[in-house]
Amino acid sequence: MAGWQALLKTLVGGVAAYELLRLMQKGSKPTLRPPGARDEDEFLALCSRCGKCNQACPYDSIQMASVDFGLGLGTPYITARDNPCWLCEDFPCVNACPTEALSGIKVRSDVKMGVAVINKDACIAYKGLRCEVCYRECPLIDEAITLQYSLRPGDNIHALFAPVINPEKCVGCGICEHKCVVSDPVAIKVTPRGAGELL
Amino acid sequence: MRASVKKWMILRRTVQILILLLFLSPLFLVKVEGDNFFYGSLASSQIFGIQLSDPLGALQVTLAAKELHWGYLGSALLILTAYLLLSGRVFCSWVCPVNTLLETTDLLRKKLKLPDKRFARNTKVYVMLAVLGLSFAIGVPVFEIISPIGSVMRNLLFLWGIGLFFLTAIVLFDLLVSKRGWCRYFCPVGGFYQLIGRFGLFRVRIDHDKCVHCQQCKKVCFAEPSILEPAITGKESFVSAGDCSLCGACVDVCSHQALTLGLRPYNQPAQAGKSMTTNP
Repeated sequence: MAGWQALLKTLVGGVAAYELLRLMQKGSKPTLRPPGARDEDEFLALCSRCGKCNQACPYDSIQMASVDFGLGLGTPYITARDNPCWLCEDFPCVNACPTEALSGIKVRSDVKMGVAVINKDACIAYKGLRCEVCYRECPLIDEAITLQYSLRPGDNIHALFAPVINPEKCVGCGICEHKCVVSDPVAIKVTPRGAGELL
Repeated sequence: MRASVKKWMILRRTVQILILLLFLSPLFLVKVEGDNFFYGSLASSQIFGIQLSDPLGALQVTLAAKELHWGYLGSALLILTAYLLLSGRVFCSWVCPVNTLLETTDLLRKKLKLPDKRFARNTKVYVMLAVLGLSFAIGVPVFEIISPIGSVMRNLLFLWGIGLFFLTAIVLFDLLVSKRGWCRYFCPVGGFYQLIGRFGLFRVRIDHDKCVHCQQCKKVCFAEPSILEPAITGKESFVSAGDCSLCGACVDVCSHQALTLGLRPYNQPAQAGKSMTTNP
């Protein structure tokens, strides 16, 4: 009879664990992942939480997730405002990944971490001040960000040099967000890939 | 009787420290784009360009992702082969940083009188199977998230405070509920290595002529004292259980030099007059 009870205990425990983990999985939100990261669900399955990408990154851009990431505990992520992805030519983080959780990156334009979005209310360039920081710092200058010239509305003398994102070209490295001179709120922010559907 | 020099203990401590230094080396050495001769954690690492990965972790990832990546599986096979040759749970007492930590709680146990609840030592094999099943069902390598080994590595290598809850729970469990309880009964990594542990080339051997049945060895056994029983009673000429982690504590403590640690004999000679053992 003891074996029977043990089996029952195991089954109940197993179902409870399954349900709990599934609940946690639903709670995990898209976050900015290193270059070459698979879609979030696949990434959570493939990432072995070994931290090699973190150690391979020459800029210390990659951080390791703590408990607030739920099932993503121990996975790599990037906080662009603090330290973005500097888009190395040879992508050491991708090469370090043993499991292909990070994979498929040959050139910079292969990277699809997310897309930068400009908050026009916060951006001083949209208010008429000449600030081109995000545009100048973008590694894909004139591709991912362009400047659009126009006259300031209701003002025949001054011009607007407004940065505009091309979502097709933007790789989501977050250098613009890191360099943006406006803070709280930052005028340009990377929306992680996968979060687009939620917006 | 000689005053015992704990030579296996000294050797094991040396290896434990060297392993920790190896994993911590990227923190000390010059950091140039992963150009260190070694980097990584116990989940996966790289030494002189050779990838090495934890076999149980690789199984979980493969089941969770439902994809085969031969490079990754190959890197896990290297480690698996090494432990298959040595003896599975060599990992536990010579390499695992959690064991290193729990040996410290064991020292506390010697000073205080604390309860010691026993469980079935095969439980860890079932925990391992459950971990694999859950990883497949949920699509996440379940144990890699909460693993106390991963947690120790992350806290040493990356940032202090990452996911310490499970590790803390284990230390408390070992201290207040069951002596070496996590390693003996529940750790799925130990369960995995227990499964392949019977095949290793190295074993604890017993000289029945020298053994006086003083039971000293059972008192110090890391794995689970009952695994020494067949050897002491004369049923076995070496400890065959997959649980044995070859820590050498029993060899060190034996004041009659009845125990040695070395290459396994070719056969386990059946003892005349002994009935067949029913222990697995």
